Amino acid sequence: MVLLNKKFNRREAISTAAKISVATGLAAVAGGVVGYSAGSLTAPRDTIITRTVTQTVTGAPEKVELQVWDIETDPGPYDAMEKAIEVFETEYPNVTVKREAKSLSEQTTAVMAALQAGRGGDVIVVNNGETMMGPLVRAGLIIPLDSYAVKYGWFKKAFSPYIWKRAMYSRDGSVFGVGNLYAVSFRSEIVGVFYNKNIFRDLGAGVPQTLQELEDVLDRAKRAGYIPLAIGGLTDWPFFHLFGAIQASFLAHEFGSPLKAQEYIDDIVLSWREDRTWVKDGNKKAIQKIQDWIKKGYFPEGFTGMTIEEALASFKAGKAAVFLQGNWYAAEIAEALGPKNVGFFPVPPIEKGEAMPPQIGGMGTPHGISIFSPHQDIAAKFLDLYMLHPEVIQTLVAKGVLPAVPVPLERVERDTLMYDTAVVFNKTLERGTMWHYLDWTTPTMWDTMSEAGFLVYSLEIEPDEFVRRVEEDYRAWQARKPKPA
Amino acid sequence: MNVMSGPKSPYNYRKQFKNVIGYLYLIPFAVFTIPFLFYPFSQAFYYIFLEWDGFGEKKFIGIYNFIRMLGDRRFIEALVANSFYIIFFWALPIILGLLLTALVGRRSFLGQGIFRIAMLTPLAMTSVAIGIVFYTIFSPSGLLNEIARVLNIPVKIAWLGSTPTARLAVGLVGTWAIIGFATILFISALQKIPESFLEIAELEGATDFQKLRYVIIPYLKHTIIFVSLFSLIGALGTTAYGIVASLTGGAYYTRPLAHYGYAVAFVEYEVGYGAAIIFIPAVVGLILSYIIYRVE
Repeated sequence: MVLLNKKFNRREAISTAAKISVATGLAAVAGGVVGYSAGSLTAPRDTIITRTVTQTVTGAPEKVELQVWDIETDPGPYDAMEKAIEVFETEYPNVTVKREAKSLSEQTTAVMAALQAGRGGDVIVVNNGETMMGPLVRAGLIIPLDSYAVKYGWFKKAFSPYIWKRAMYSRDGSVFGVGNLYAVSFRSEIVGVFYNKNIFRDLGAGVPQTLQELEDVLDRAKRAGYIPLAIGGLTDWPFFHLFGAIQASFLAHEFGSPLKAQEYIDDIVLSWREDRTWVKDGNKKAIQKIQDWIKKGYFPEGFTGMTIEEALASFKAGKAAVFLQGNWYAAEIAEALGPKNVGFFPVPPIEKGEAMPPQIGGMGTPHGISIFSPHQDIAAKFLDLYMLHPEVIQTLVAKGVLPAVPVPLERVERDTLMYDTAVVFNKTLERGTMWHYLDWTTPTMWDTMSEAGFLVYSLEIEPDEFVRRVEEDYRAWQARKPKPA
Repeated sequence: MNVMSGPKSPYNYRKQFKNVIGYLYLIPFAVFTIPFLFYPFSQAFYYIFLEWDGFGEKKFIGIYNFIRMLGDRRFIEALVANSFYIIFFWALPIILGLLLTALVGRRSFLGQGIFRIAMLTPLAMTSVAIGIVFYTIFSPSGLLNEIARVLNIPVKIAWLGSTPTARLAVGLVGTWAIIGFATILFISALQKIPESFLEIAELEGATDFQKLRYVIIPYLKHTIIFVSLFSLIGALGTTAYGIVASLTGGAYYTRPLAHYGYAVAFVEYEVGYGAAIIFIPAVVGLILSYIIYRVE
């Protein structure tokens, strides 16, 4: 009250204003961390284990509002989600779907905050691994979907056993890749090599059958004045794809079979097995190969300061021979270059005659059901329709997006980008291998691998140091990982 | 007792009534500040002593989160980045702002209005917009490299994508963003200095630097302190204008503590450790603020 009883004084006013600024500013700095942490709420675990399918959509209350919190904001998946809602509301007129679509990072924050407070959508994004699924399973905040999977035949109709594992956790949330199913997706992903057919024709190059042949094409592209491989080193996550794709080739070669390489990476990424190690020749050779390509000038000049968007723009502008990325870019690439002017091939093996190495991919970011949803059976029916309804699948395919089911090739125009991506994806499903997104390995692996990846790009660390850093992260997780109850 | 049983002075009632009125004035401030700042702040303070993933069991671990920081390379890197930003977001804008004020503060010159608008422009821009603008400047095909090309300097630098330059580039963005705010406040304060003060200094043969050192800076002391605290809080809590948002992992050593603490709490689900990390800039801010007050 001192201030109020005194005559206004400029010096004190400034001083007081400064003090208030300091107090509120610092409170904001420190208080920000509890943005969504206040008020933890953990559901009793037993309720999710013993529940059975009891509701039916037609027997639901008069009017039901189903809240869907999804992350399908890209044009193709966005339209497909809208189509799913339209079909669902037509088939079940008593249900109104209220959709909230956000980017993955925004929706992750929103879902985690809401679930802690006992709120949130009925259908919610549940990203794989320790990014979301693990913590939510351990807290009992999402329900297992196994009974619905059996009821609707999901395991038979969609994906492959290999891909389904990525949406599974043990009941206590201590082991990834086994146990109950917790989420599903309506789209699939495959990482491979987009190539500009006109540039390949100009270079007299065919689809490479070995990694060395791919390198020869890059070399010819450089000499012809093209950007050999479009890549943006400033964005962190594309490194996981570049490294993972080449790593799979080297490890399949080192183990002598793609299946054994797959077993190795499953043990690390899914099972966190203590007796597995990142210190493998294949991992070092993959980093060495990336650095060789950088030294030979196959990456754009200054690529470490470029984003993935810039790299994509250069490929779409017809300046680059290849672009190693996921099929989620297929639609816009086909639109920019023409669907018949661009192709897609798998990352090839090390030697001729070797089987196709595992390719990175899997299900798109999946969605599950909140424990707090009063309409869980209706939400499951929605997930079934969103994943398997022919009209939704057709919408996805028409937009160049791979659905959850194998793509019927006879319904896709040959010699188009969509055809190529579907061929690679179908072949990968048949082979029973699928390389993982390596950032799932531990909660800190994204951080660790992206930082080490930047240093690989800038040639500041050698392959040994890269592997050492990743191994160190993995060992730290061994001590911290959830233990079986 | 006389004092206890004697008649009460009507003056005291008036004083107490005034005090009640005063407290009422605080209500709008309290309504927003207590639930949205002080409550989360106290919650965060509680979390720093916990091992907690944000969902499950809370385990009290005392000060272990702070001990853990000592061996956390990513924390050390973020701390160093923040220290660097203190120089670029706090010290440099004040020093350069004072120099600019000394140069143009009391003179009329052509384009004075444009100069002031340019100075205020960063205040009107969101931090994300600033990040995008500067990304286009620092991009390998951006303005800086284009200038180098025009000048026949055969170097194409990935300003944001290399260890020696990335932190510098982000730091300069902060300097640019804050210098205008500092300069405008300094100029407005400078214009209140009685003309006679500076005339006397001139008559005494003071140089421009001496006038700045012995007349202007002492007169601007309170404004400097205000600007210092404002920019210091910005430097400590900075998320570096979104420029480093894509550089998770502390690559190129640009990630400040606020980013790192967020990642630990909400991406890696270690809420206790994340809260402890965020508390470091808060405590450093309090200490530096105290030092600034002592200087005053």
